[in-house]
This record gives sequence, structure tokens and C-alpha cells, in this order.
Amino acid sequence: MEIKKLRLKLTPFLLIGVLFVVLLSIPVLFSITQLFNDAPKWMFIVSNTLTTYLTNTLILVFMVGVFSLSIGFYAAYVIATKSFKGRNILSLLLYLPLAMPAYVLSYIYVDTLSFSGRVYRLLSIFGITAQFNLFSMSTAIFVLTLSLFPYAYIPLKAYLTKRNQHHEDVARMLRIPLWKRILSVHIPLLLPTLMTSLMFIIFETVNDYGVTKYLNIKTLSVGMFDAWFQLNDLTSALYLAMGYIVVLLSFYIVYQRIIKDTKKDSIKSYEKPHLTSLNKKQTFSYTMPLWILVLFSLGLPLVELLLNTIQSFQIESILPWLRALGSTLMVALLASFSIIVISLLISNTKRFTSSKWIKKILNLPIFGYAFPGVMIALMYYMFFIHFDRFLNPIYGLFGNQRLVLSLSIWVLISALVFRFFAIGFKQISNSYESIGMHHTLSSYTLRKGKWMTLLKIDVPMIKKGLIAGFILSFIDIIKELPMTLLLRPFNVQTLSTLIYTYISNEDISKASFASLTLIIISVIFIILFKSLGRKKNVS
Amino acid sequence: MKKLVVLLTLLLTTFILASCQTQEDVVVIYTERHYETDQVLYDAFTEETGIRLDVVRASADELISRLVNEGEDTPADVLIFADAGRLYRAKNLALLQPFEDDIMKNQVDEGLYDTNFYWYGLTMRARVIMYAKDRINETSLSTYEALSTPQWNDQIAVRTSSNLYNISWIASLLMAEGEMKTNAFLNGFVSNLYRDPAGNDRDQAKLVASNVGANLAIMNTYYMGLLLNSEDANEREVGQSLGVFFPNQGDDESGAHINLSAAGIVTHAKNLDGAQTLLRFLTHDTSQSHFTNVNYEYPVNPNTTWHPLLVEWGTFKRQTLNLSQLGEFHERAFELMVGAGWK
Repeated sequence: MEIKKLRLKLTPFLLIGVLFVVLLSIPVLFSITQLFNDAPKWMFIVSNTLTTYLTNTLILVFMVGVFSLSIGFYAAYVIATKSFKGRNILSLLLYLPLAMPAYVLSYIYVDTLSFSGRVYRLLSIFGITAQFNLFSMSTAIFVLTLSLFPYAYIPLKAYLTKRNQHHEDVARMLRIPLWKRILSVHIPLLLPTLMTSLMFIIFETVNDYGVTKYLNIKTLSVGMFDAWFQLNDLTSALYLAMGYIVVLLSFYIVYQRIIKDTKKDSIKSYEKPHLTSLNKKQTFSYTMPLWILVLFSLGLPLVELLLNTIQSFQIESILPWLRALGSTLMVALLASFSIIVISLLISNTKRFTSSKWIKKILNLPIFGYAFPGVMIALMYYMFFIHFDRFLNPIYGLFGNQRLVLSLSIWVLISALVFRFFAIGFKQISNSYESIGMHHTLSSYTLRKGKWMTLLKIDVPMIKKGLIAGFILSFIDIIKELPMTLLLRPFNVQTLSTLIYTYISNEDISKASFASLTLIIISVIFIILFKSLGRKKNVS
Repeated sequence: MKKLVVLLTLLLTTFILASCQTQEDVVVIYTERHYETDQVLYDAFTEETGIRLDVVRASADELISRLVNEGEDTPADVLIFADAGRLYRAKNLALLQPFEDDIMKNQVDEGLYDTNFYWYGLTMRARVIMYAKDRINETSLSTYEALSTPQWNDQIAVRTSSNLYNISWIASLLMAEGEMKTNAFLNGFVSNLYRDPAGNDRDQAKLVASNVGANLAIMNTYYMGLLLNSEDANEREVGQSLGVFFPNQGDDESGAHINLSAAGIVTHAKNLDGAQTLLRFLTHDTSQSHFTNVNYEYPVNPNTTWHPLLVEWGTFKRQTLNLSQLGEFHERAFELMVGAGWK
């Protein structure tokens, strides 16, 4: 009875949860109101460029999706099912391309393979002077695959390591042929993990602006910027943005359906998986493609960055670098911490809500992941200016500043929280799901308060999920560029904006030091994340 | 519940107090320019005047969007763009105020400031033709318009149609020659491109230097300066293999196109005096010398001596178009470029 009451009452948890959802989602409404304005250039876009935008986006998404999934699956299969010398180190190295911003990879590859680049010169020593067309769809697919395949590798490896072998054993005992086993046992069991990986890969690919802009691949996201800036037509830009947000959300809905239908089958096994030992020859043939993958996604870019840093390092660049490092850490810590706290409150509220509608409302902020960064930045900025005007009478008591919050770091933090909320929220929701309600309810029965239970019972139990969510958000936030560029407070330079400054000046060498720092920080956090992965409650 | 309300109020107050800044003499700059040279000048300005400079760096359009939203509450005092075309947009949106000043008129060459004094040029770069010295005879080059003739089939390298420098260049042709001639030029020019446009200006130079077919690149002089002074010996080699040609230099020809970095004072500037002092400072001979010597840009101050490299390239006739009006042609220029198949 007590519990039922608790579910229906407007509890502080529900109030806070809904409040945060509203705060995070209100700015989105601003963009929706803009959709009803005139779009003078829309017909021009439809008749001249829309087909190109759509075709290029589809080709890119399809190819990056197929390659990333295939490579990620092969890597996961070898690491999760085979035993060989160097397995642990290879397993770790395959995580690390997550640290590599795709835009940095594209600059590095174009630079090193173009006329004055190191690899080009090295190849020319051996008489290979073939000119690649580096500014092409193939380069975009190559670079995005290299930086996105870990999105497939990590969950697939977790799945293959923890998968329940019993289904396979039963199917074998019933002498079901291999192709039938693949179709009716393996694929249905793999599908949720494959779809989760694919969803992240698609979202990242469609939202990419750095790589496609530099290589001049006219995708929907590049088209959105062209419509907005070159044609001065924000409404047409919003049409394009809304178009791809609808596509991404449709994919998300399909994904939810598949996850829902297959959940019951994906029982995990915690038995130690059986690994097939490989001899030297087999080790070579199985792992060589993976070492090549590590070389292209990690080794070569890191060597390039290191050599560039040595070549262009100047003692004067230390101070701006230190400042950028400090700002980067501060912004990423504040935003990741906020994501975790808000995710915790919202997930907790969700657990105690029986209403389907409230659950749906509480899920709203995860759609921030589908929005283009610059659009979120402007929506948040507009909202904060209005909020500042509302608070003007209060500001009057402290001085004569009229814009306070909109010029502070909080607007950037809020936008980052909205954009990357899904990452932290997913980890925490999964952790909550895996521990169930019993402990919390037992605590309530023992008349412990709700906040006390949250802090003393829930938080320690889902600690690993909280840390994992924090780390993953942190890695994405330090790499983020467009929102940080637009919303950072006066005189604040982060590592990503420092890279942008040098790259805009066409100075890849100078950008290398900041890029290297960014990658090293991410690598440290990925190693931390990987060590958590061995524990329970981390998805 | 009461506790919660108190907690939230306290939290909000802390946020606001933490965000409030103490009042002092500050000029806020919204700038599209992202060069270290500019920061050096800003630091020198603070040292000389005691006025602190707060800087927001983003693209021109993002800054315009920000200014429109902030309205009269904007903290911005000075707006600096890398291309005067966007200042036209800012002026049209009433984001700038005029600043007629004798010192500024003396310090900035005529034609390089707005006719109604809404903005003043800071630096210039010429958008010119770079050619492979070992394969192209300079005498075969003449005008931008000649680049559309079949003689240059598959030989030209240029960056994308979204690039503001290119849009400004085509806008200048559109303004001078009209739509029909510009369209004809674009059709010929695009069919002469060696590959689909991509990359930045230095990438075009590298393509020409690699001797795979492209012999001409459309580039800003500034990037050529950077190439020739790069820390990377191979980049210097790329620069050395190219020649700089200023087109349209004949008596009856329009002159070479320039990209003008320019600055204006924001309509709702809070520190008008500070903003004016900054504009005078940036166009003063000392600052102008810094721009040209460190960044290889042409000074707008007629009394400033050019960097030796620029002197070596020689003087040139620049387009005499009314730069205040150029921005008006940007959108149409972009449409024509896309229409002609310029990717």
C-alpha cells in the first residue's frame, strides 16, 4: 500500500526529474517555432543539392555502418573466442581508437599522403608516387570507420564473452546445420547488440561535420551549414536538420522495438568462456588484420602527431596549452558530473513511475544525441538569453549586467549535458535494471528516507555504472568542437578549440601538440573504462 | 518540499553570483579571426591602455546570429570579420554603428572602409593565381576571366564553393560583370577544374606542386607566405615551386580581388570609447607592421612598409569595387557557383 501510494504521488523525485527534463528540452521548442518561418531558398536546395545531400549521406552511413560492424565483429570474435600471445594488449589497443577524433584523423591522413607528407615521401623512395584522390568519399569512409569501429567492437566483444553457450550446444546436439544455426540462433541473439552498435555508428556518422566538411562531401549535415550560412536561410537549414533528426529517431524507434522483442532471449552467462588456443601460424593469420587495423587507426596517426609536435614545438606554446588543458578538464568534469547526477535522478524517478507517458517524457533528453551540435548550441543560447531577461530584476540587485547566465560557462555545460545525456543515462539505466528494485524497497520498508536510500543503497550498488557513464561522457565531451567553440565564455580556449584555431590557419603541425594531449587524456580514461568493464553493472 | 525549493533557490543564486563579473574597463570583441598575431596585438593593447579585452571567437555567421539574439543586451563592443562581405550582412541587420573619425580615415587607405563609416579594413589578402613555375610561362596568364577558356582544361585547383573567399571573389565578378557573364565564366571555369574542389588553400598548392596535372591554383597570398616560411622544409619546397600572379592588371581591367578583414563598432556597444581606441590601435602603423611582418597580410595603412616577401611579389592594382556593397552579391554568387556544378 505504502509503495503504491509512493508511485502515484507527486514526489520530489518526480518533480525534480520532470524539472530537469523540461529544462533540458525547452530550448528544442525554440527551433520548432522557427520551422514556421519563410524558407526562401528551400526550392533552390530541393532542385540543386538535396539529392546529393541524401545520396552522399546514405552512401556514407551504409558503408561506414557495414565496415565498422564487420571490422568490429571480426575483432570481437578473435579477441573473445581465441587464445593467443599478445591477446590482452591487442584487446586494449582495439579500444583506443575511440580516443581519436575523426576530424584529426582526416587532417593527418590527407597531410601525410599529400605531396609534402611523410608517407608520400617514404613511398616515393620506393618509386611509388601514385596520387590518391584524398578528398573523396572513400577517405571519409576510411577515416570514419577507423574511428567508429570500437563502437561495434566493444559491445560485441562483451556479448561474445558473456554469451550463453547453451543455445549453441543444444543446436549442435540437434544436428542443426551451420547456416541454420547462424540464422536461427546466432543472429537473433546478436541482433540487439548489433543494433545498439549500429545506432551509435549511424548517429555519429550522420552528425559528423568535421570530416565531411574538410573532405567536401556534401552530406545533410554539411548542407545544413551551407543553407544556414552561405544562403542565409535558417529555416531551410532547420528543414534539413529536422529531416535527419526524423530519420535518426525512426531508426531509434525500430531499435527500441527490436530490443524489446529480443530482450527475453539474451540471457547472459557468467561462466568463463572457452577460448580456442591458436598456434603461431594461426595467430599470425587471425591477428595480422587486427594489427594492421591498429596501425592505421592508432599507430600511424600517433607517430605523425608526435613527429609534428617535435618539429613545431615552441616553448611559448606551453602556456596556452596549459590554459587549454585546464579549461578542457574543467568543462568536461563539470558537464560529465552534471550528466551523471541528472541521469541518476531521472533514472531513479523512472523506476518509481508506473505511467507509460511519464516514462516517455523522462526519456526525452536522450534525443539530444540526434541533434547537430551547432543547432543545440544556438537553441540553448537563445533560451538562456530569454531566461536572463526574465531574471533581470534580480540581476539589478547585484550590478548592472543584463546578460549573466548566457555569458557564463553554464550555457555551455547545459548544452553539453543535453547533447551527451544519452551516454551517461544509458549506463545508469542499465545498472538500475540489473540490480532491480528489491534493495531499494527493503530500505524503504526499514523506514529509511528516499534521499538516504538513493545515497546509501542505490549509489554504492550502481557505482560502476555511474563511473562508466562519467568516463564515456567525459571522452565525448573533451573531443566536442562546435558547441564549445560557440558557447565557451570569453577568452576560454579548450584543447579542441585550440586544435581548431591551428587547423583553420592550415597549420597541422601546431595542432598536433593539442591533438596528442587530447588523445592521451582520452586513452587514460578508456583504460580506466576498460578496467571497469570486467566488473558487473557496466554495459 | 520546502527544503527542495530553498535548495534550488540557493543553487540558482550561487550560479548567478558565480557568473557575475566585477566591473572594470573592458572591451568585448566578437571576432572571426583566429590568429596568434591578433592575440599578441590584443595583449599589447591592454598593456598600453589598461583596457582588458574579452574575446569571443566563432565563424562570422555564428557571431551574427549571437548578436541578433542578444539585441541591446549584447556585451560585444567590436565586431571583426575575415571578409568584408559578412560585415555588409551585419550592417544590414543594424548590428553596427557608424564611426566617422579623422584618425581612422588617415590610417586606412581610401576604398578600404565603408562609405558610411560602419566598418574599417584591418588587413588585406589578394586572391590570386599561383602557377607551377617549371611548367607554366607567366606570360600565358592574364585575367581571372581567361581561366574559363579551354586552354586551362583540367589544370585548375581551387577549394570548395562554400569557402567564403571564393564566394567573395565570384561576388566581385558578379558585381562588376553581371549575371550572364559570371555564369558563362563559371561554366568554363568549373569544366577546367582538375578535380572536385576540396581542402584548404595549402592543399591546392600541394596539388600543383605534385605535378599530376593541375598547374594553376587559386589561393590567397597569405597562405603562400605561410608556405614559404613553414617550419617544414617540404612545405617550403612546395611554396618555392610556385609563382604568384596578380591577374587583371591591365589599364582597362578590374584589378586583383582582395579579401578584406575588417572591424566595426557594435550598435549597442557598452564601451564606445574603448572600442574606438581599439580600432585606432589596430590600424595604427605599429599594429599594421605586426600584421604584415608576422602574418604576411597586406596592411591597410598606406604608411606601413610591407613585409619583404610582399615587396618581392610587387605592387598590384586591386579591384576598385565598392566593398560595402559586395556582401549584397554573396548569396546569388553562391547559387550561381552551385548551379554551375562547383562542388
